[in-house]
Amino acid sequence: MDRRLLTTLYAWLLVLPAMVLLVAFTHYPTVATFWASFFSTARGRRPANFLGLDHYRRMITDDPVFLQVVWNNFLYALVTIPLSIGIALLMALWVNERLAGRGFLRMAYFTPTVLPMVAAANIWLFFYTPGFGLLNQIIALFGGPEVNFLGSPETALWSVMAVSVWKEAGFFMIFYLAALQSIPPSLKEAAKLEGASDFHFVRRIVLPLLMPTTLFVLVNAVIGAFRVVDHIVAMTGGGPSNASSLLLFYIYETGFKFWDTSYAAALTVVLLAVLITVSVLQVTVLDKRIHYR
Amino acid sequence: MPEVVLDGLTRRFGETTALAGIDLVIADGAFAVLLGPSGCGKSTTLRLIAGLDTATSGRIRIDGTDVTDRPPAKRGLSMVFQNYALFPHLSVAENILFGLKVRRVPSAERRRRLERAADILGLGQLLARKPAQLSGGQQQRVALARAIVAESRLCLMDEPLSNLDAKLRAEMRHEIRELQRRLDMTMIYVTHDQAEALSMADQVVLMRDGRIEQDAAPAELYERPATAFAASFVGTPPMNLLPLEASAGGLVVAGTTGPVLAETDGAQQPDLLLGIRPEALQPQDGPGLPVTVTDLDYQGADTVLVCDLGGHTLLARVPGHAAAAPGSKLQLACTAADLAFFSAADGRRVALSAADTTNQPRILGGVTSWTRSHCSPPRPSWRSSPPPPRPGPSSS
Repeated sequence: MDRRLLTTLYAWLLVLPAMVLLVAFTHYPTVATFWASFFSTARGRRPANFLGLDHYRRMITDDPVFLQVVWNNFLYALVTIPLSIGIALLMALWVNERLAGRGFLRMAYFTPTVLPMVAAANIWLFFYTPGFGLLNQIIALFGGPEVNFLGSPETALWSVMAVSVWKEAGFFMIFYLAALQSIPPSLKEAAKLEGASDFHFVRRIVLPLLMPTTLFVLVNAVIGAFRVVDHIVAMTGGGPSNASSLLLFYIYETGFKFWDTSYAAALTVVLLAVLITVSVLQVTVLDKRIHYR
Repeated sequence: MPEVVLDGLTRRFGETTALAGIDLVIADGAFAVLLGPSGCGKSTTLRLIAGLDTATSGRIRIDGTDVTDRPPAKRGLSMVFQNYALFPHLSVAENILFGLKVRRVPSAERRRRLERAADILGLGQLLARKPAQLSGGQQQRVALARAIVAESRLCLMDEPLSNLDAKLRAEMRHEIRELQRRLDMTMIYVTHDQAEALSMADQVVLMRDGRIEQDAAPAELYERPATAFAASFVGTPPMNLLPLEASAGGLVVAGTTGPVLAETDGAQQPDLLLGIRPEALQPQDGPGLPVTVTDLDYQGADTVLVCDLGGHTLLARVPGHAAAAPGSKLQLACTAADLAFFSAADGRRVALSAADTTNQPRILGGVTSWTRSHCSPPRPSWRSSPPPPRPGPSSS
């Protein structure tokens, strides 16, 4: 009996360091956030009052910025995820072929991933600058009108999307490239002998075999799309008039600029709920259709 | 009539030459085996015939048509890959039918061919499974089924049995051979296993360094190797090769004083190698090659004696469990017909003094006829078909 107790104690002691870290930085903050979302923000001598679901009611009925930010983020995910995955797949298929300068191409595609997001955002700031920015100079070359990409509500969100597609595609390409290289070349030869075209081979053989990678990339892309904050901060600050503001950026603003921390907590709970729902859906629905080797 | 003709076929990869202009004729309905050590060009040859690789120069004709510039699918052939190349996400049936769907064969016809192939190879119960749920032997059968539903008369196989265990390999050898007969296919089969080549082929094409070393029926390859390399590559264990040197009476094994194995006419002889099959050597009481047994390799039906002769290793295969102990001295005898001579310089077989019968190698000791018949290489009884017509002298 004593011996078993001792073993149990050992086990807990071994788990302890990891548990302390997890509890302190993951579990406790999650629970605390959830709890705080039911209270008002304490200010000065005014303590936090229990509000129940008031914060959540406010989001839907009384916060047009929240609704716009959710719509922005939805649009952002809907455009950037398929686009960056599609481009990643095309790039991977291309640089997986035998071609001159293959190593250079692979490196070139992957470079944006290595750059910090803030650095990438700064490079793109120069491209987007009105007047002498690269894109405007090109437009001027063809006699087009000057466009203020980041300064007008119609183009700001799309400009930010372009940056993240540019940055994410190279990252996803690496996963696809690794998966492509694990497909034995004899499969392609067998398909060729049977008279299958390259397109047929990609559609019927390569894409199904890449599905596990696609699921992995997709989950990552969705999480990424709802966590974007750095290049918004660096490029637009969410403006003009919240046109390029996304959920996490709005949470950041609410919490650390307006210091309405408990409303920010409620927003965070919504964000978490969205991420968990989407991930679970992806894994359960797609998993059944995926062939794992 | 899918007869395959290779005409000066060459493949270079940059500086290295994988295939140095080979000429080869494979007859319609023949089971041809491309045999050789790794890097000899046998797989390259197969891939060139399949169209998976492009020849640097030379032509390939299948069935009288020049297919050198045609894509693989337009050459009227099927292929079984070493790793089977089954599509892992498709069921057995889908794998087998993949090519027919690509070629838009009507579904009734597809079903008929699938049933036939599944019937021939005993895959009926497995059609809904995925390749990962099959054993190695079953995967092999699926790959074969995929090759035969195309109903092309030429089938290429790239070391198809190398991933199977020994017992299954023997079974599949027999099965593939039977399949080839039954469907009347021309088969080109690549292997590095000489035993596999001997047991399956009508025509063995032994390759080395991108050239054809010998192109012959199995029995001829075994009994009359054209080069020292052919002699040393074929047989388990392969032919003994010993350097010869001139002595007063004639040629003897280097480092020994006799017996004389071939008489010389006094003229300057090139350096020669002596070749003797291990099973041609039998211990006897009379005069023979004086050897010291250094080791025994018991193999059940017979025993390989590892012997020392003038500092050279000599292997002798004797029936049963040999009583000779390591360290004992023996006389090994064989008949003149069992001796082969090769030039040490280029490895070519040398016919010693054919003009003068007195210069024929002398018979060493009196070996009984029983020993002779025992020593001739066993041929499976089912190999009754005559060897296919062969082209003229093989190029090397």
